[in-house]
Amino acid sequence: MGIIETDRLTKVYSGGVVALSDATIEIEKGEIFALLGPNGAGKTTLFKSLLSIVSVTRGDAHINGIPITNPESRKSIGYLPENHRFPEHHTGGSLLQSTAHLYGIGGSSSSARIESLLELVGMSKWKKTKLRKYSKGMTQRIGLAQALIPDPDILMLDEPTDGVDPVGKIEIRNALKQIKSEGKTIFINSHLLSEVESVADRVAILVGGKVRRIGSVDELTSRKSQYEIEAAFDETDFDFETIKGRLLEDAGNRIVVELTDENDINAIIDTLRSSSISIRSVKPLKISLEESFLETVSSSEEPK
Amino acid sequence: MRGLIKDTYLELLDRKVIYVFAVITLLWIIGAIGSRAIELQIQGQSFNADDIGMAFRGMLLGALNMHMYILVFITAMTAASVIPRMFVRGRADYYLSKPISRTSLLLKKTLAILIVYGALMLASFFIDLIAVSLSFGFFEFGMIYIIAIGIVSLFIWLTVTTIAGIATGSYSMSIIAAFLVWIAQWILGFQYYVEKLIDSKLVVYTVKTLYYIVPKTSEISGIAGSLAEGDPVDLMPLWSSVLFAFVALAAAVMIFHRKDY
Repeated sequence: MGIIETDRLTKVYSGGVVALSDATIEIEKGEIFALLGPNGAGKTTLFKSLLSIVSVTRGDAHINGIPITNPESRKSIGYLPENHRFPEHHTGGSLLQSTAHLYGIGGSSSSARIESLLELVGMSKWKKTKLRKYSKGMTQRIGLAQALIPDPDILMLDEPTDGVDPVGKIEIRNALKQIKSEGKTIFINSHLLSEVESVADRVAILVGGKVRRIGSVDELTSRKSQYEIEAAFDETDFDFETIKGRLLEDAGNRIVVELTDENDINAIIDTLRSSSISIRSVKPLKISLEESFLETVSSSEEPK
Repeated sequence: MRGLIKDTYLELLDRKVIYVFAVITLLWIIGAIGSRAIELQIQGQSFNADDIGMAFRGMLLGALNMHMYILVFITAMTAASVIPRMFVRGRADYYLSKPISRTSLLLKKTLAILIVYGALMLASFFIDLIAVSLSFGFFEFGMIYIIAIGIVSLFIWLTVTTIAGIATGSYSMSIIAAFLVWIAQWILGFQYYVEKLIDSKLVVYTVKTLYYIVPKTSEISGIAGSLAEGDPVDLMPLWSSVLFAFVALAAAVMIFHRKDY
């Protein structure tokens, strides 16, 4: 059973706007799961539905086995909202203290945790400064700290690196890896594909409120039925007509073939070996997550 | 609850509302103590505060009651924005994502506002009492009615601003709603004359119904004054207004449950 499960989750806003349509996902404990999608794809609505910030029109969802309609389901979640506006009468330190109270955490243990989190996000120096004086990056970092206050099993981050400078982005990325190493589940919503590619284990692509693709980064970025073969073709007079599949690219000792059947790759290897060609590598052709994303988005566009 | 009280307190400090209270209280004390020096000339004879005895006591209680009425009004106006500000876009997510039900969040926050702003009113009232006691050697337990009913009045106003704030999501609308109710209750206070002057039964019944529904904070303030002076009172305006407050709060909770942020 996944730590987060949604079953045909649908949200129709007043006015008939379908923000989410039959979204079914399952997130395993300890993984970094990323949600990708163009603007208006329903990513934030999915987050807000899971947290009951918006009501669900149809379908249901569970967090840690608890229905999302039960506030207890949010006990194990730390959330960093997109475009957040934390109460500006707070200092960084008092915001974390207030957050601890909202989670029902108090006493000296919360004080120690607040100090360590301020340290983790590099905000100890500014803990007594009012939030209104913070830069966007500083607010984002204190936002990450408040999300970590309950020592959550699940961290939900909506555009966590938004407005953060490159150094800050690396710091946040490293912090996420550290959090993952502690066995936490991270559910991240971002439009920064390179960011996602570098940290996520699995990805779902949401277009028009529907989950169009879901899988590991490897699965999403492998070009189906296309292989890159590196071998010593120049040492023999090899006839490429003899191999199964279609030759897409011939760059001397490196070729790209497209197969109609995935199993044909074994036949190609056999052919090359029987021709005494030394094979250096055979690997499925990869595309970037960005290319995969764009392909998914364009193929999802409904014909007019 | 502790977190929400602290949150409300920090917001109050940040908005410098405390200075408004301090200025109003200081002005009242200056006025009250200054009245000791007033001499009245009646038919060629001079009278001061000590000479007019009971009449002065009544004036002082009235002034204290008026001070409390002004404080309740100012508190209601300043507190009117607290709830809508809490649920503006981007901030609502922060509060609603926590493991606390919407009902609990709204009721606890309303209570937190009542405690924090009520404490400020209480402090102001006790400063008044100390000043009056030291200056005039005058203290009566009946004065406690003024602050007790002042706090009830504040609760009634808070429910008006809470429901308006939750329904519209706008703090200006919340303040406008409080103003409208204040004006409405003032106009409806003349319902007796409407009955005398207008023949239309429909108008009379409408005005009477509205009179019983709309909270009557001015009349409540009058009740506080009468109780302080030991006069007999009709408590209908108080209990009907408290009933309105609970209904408004329940409606606010229901609306809050249906809202998407």
